[in-house]
Amino acid sequence: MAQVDIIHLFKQAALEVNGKKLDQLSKDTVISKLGLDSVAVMELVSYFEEKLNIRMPDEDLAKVQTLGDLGGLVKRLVPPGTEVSW
Amino acid sequence: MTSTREEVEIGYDISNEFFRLWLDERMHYTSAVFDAEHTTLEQAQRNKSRWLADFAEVKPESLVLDIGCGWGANLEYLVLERKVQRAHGLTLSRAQAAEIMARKLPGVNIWCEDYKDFTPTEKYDALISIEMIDHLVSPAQQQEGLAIPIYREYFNQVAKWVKPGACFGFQAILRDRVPRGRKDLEDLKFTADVIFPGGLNPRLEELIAACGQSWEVIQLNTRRVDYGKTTAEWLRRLRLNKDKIMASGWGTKVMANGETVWTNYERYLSTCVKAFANHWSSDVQMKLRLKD
Repeated sequence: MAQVDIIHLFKQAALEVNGKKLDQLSKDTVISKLGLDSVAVMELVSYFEEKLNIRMPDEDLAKVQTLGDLGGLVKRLVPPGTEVSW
Repeated sequence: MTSTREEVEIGYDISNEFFRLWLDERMHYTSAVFDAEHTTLEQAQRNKSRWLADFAEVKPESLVLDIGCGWGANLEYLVLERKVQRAHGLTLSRAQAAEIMARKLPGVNIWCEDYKDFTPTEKYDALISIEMIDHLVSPAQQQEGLAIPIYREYFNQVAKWVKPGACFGFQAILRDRVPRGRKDLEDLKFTADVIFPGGLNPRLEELIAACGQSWEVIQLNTRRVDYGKTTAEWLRRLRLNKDKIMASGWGTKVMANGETVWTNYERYLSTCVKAFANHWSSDVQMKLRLKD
C-alpha cells in the first residue's frame, strides 16, 4: 500500500523548492503563517501535484488553510488504498 | 481589511490624464462587452453599461446608486443616454470624485466615502456596482477563510438600501485557475501587490454563496473573453501613447516596487491579457433581485 506523509512531504517541498527549513509542523499549522508568499505556496502545491501525480482543483485549494486541510484534499485525490498520514 | 483609501488611490490616482490616454473616452476602467454591433472599445463600454442598466431595470424616474463609480463613466451613461434624472455615486478615490464633479453631470451626486460608512437618505430603485467588490477582501483575509462572510455582509448591507423588488446590476472580476509556473505566479502577485494592493478578486462560487441571503440570482453572464479584448485594447493604446506618457513625466514616476509607472503598467496589462486568455481570471455580470 502506498503511503503519503503530508508533513514530511511539505518539509521536503519547502526545502527543495523554497530553500526553507521548516520545523515543528503539525496538522493544525496554518500555511499562511509560515512566512511563505503566495508564489512560494503555489510552488509547494505544484511539488505535491508532481510527486503524487494529482491536480488539486483551484476551488478546493482556495479553502485550504492548514496542513490538515491540505492532507484532506490530498486524501481525496490519491488512488484508493493510499494511506495519508501526518 | 478592505482596501484602504490609500491603497485605492495607488491604483487610480497616478493622474486622470494618464488613464485618459489608454482608456475609452468616458474612462471606464472595467470590462467592456463586445458583440457584433459593438466592436470598438467605446461602443463595447457603452454596451457594458447598457447590460447593467437593463439588469438593474433602470428607468428615467429611477433613483440609482452606482457603488464604486470610478471616474463616473457609468453615471454619465445613465444620465445622458438612459435619461435617468437622479443618480448617486460612491467612490473612495478623491481624484475620481473630482473628475466626476468636473463633468457636471445633470442629476448626479457623489459621495467620497467607504460603502460601510454610507447612509442613504432615501431608498434606491436600482443598484449598479462594477468591479468594486474586487477591493473588499485582502489576500490575508481570504487565507483566513473570511472571504464569503465579508462578501455576504456587503450584499446584505446594500440590500437594506433598496425598495422592495429592486434589482442590482452587478459586475466583478473573478479569479479562476491558479497558474503553477513561477513567472506567471510572480506576474499575478506583482499585479496584486503593486497595482491593486489590498484587493483580491473573488471566485464565482464565493459570490454565489454570499449573495443568496438577500438576493436572487436572475441571470449570470461570464465575460472572460470580453475582458481579454478590453485589456488587449488598453495595452495597445498604452503603447501607442508611450511618447506622450513619458514626456508628461507620469511614465517615469517611480512606484513602490522601485519600477516606473510605464514599466509597471505595461507589465500589468500584459499580465491581464494572459490571465484572461489562460482562465486565470474571468469576469461576471449578474442580475440580482432583492428577496423581499
